[in-house]
Amino acid sequence: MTVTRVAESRTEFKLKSLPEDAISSVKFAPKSNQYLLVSSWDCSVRLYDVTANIERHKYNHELPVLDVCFRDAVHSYSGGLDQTLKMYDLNASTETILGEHKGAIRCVEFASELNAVLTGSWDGTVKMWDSRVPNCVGTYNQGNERVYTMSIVGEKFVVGTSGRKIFVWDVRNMGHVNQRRESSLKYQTRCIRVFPNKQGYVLSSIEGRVAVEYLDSNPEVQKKKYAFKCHRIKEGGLEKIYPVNAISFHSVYNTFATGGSDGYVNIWDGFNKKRLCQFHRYNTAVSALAFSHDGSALAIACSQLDDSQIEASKPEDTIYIRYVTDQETKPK
Amino acid sequence: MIVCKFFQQGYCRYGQNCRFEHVYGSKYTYHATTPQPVVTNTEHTDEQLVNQVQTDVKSVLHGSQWILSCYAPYKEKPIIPGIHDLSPEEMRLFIYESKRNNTLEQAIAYINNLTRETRQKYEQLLQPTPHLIKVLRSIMQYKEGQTVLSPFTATQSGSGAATSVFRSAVQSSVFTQNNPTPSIFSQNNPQNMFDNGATNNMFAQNSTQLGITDAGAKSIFAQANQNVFAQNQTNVFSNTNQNLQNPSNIFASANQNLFKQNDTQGSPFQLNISQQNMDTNTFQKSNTQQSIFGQNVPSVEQSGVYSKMEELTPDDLEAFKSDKFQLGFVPEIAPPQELCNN
Repeated sequence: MTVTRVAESRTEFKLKSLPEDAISSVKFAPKSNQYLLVSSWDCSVRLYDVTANIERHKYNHELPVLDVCFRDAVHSYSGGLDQTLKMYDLNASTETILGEHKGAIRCVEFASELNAVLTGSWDGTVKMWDSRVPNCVGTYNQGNERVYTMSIVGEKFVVGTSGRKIFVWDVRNMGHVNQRRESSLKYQTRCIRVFPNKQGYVLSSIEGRVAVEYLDSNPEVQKKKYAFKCHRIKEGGLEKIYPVNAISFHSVYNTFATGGSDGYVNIWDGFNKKRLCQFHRYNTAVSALAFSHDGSALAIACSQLDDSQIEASKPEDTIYIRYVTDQETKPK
Repeated sequence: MIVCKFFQQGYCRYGQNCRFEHVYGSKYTYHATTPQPVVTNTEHTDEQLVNQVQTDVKSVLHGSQWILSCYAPYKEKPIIPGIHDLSPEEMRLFIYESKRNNTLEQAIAYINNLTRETRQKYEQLLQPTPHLIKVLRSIMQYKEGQTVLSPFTATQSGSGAATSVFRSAVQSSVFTQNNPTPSIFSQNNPQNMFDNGATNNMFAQNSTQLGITDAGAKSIFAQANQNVFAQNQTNVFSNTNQNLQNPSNIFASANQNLFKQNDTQGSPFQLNISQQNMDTNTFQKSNTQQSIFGQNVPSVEQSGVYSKMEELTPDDLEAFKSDKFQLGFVPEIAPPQELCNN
């Protein structure tokens, strides 16, 4: 299995006017690979024009922002430690406060099927908001466990919480949970992403391991699930284990990229169980990843999230945009 | 009509001609195929259960993995109770809040404490005690609705409370509203840990949530307890005894010992903390210094730290009144307030 290392300068560049603190999330616009939303622990949400490499918009929350998402090219939603969900109109540069949670908002996702925004919070609930009216349409308890990660593709909505629990919902019918599962990994869940073809999801933990699971509860299908180790570094006999912080799917090829605190980004083919590519090591941990909608660009946010690892000098928070090639992302 | 038990299990050979009633059970199970022979759990020997856990825990400890995570040793089975999740973002929030409230050193000490306790819990999993094996087997054979006992000593319920600080804190936004969650300062239930040396009682579950200082108090005893039975480590109590003048000093001097042990492991926030800070901030509740959550603890709540005079047995009272603690006669509950002030 070859590992291709691509030269740094050619197709990859660093964004300018970056946030001043750790980056919590990056998202590309739904229909264009030109615009990128970035949320950060410096309390700001910024919109970048990636092709021109300039910052177009910036707005602030009171406290650090943990997640952001696009509704369409004009509206963005963001939430964070201030527990408030804000909508921002990028054309009019106006903010609207949609509502609050009782705890910090950890994840914000847009459900295009319903035109609704879903927010997951550390208060143990997921709230659904109607995007047109500042109104909380529903609150759904996730077993009183803090929501750590969420992913939505079509009607399939998967929530990963503390205590290794996973809840699978159908967004069209939030009256009851579709499936309530335990993670197939042994340790804390870090990130979940649903396959673009909705057959299953990929989940990662703090233990340098990624699991591919299927949603169909038919035992024949369940047999296909597997897990693999990654983002580990062998240092003189000891294997250092790093959390896998971010996962992002290539929408066209159904391959996915994972980013870990070891500073590497790997691209995997989930169906053939192979690693396609590994990029060069970044200066610090990879905290967020996002493929653009057509899979042509990958945004890689690097920030030191784990405070206990801080050395004397704090590493720089950076975002790299990489124009990926077929060779890196296409299954062989 | 009598319910057909084979139908409930999924394979009645009479089918429609069966003389018994074919009713779906309360737990409706649909077997598409005849059930496979179930691998009985007795095939997993105790040794296998323990080995799995030991391998996992060793790679956790050596690989400097994020330690504040729950742990489920066997596939598709529940977690070992007593260790709780904390994500890096939540820890970061905690530190940020403490910076705003100017309680940074306490917060760092708290995090260090939590990290150390969790690490100790994982280390406990390396020792194959009978109680641990019992817990592991109950996890392996887990059925819906069962409760699994925690394999840890009462130390751990202290840090259970500590992480519950995060859970309830986050839920009720302690920091913004300055409301202490009641669980932090609730009364502790004394547990008899020195019961004739029976190892079972070492791990008797303490169900209430203890305060942070109580966790410190308990951990002293827990450590000494382990030392007594392990017989290969220096006795923590002999160290503290030399420094003892009155019972309240247990907290101060043992505190120093605990943190000194931690030092060799390399505490996470090495840059920012000093020994003195940790000593003063975490263990002395009797002064008016602000608690971690930026609020003066009223004296009423301080009674949650001390036990009442009535709770002490005559032996305990003697032990507290004397100059030194005798090994084997150390009271397992906190001294009453009356005896602590000189």
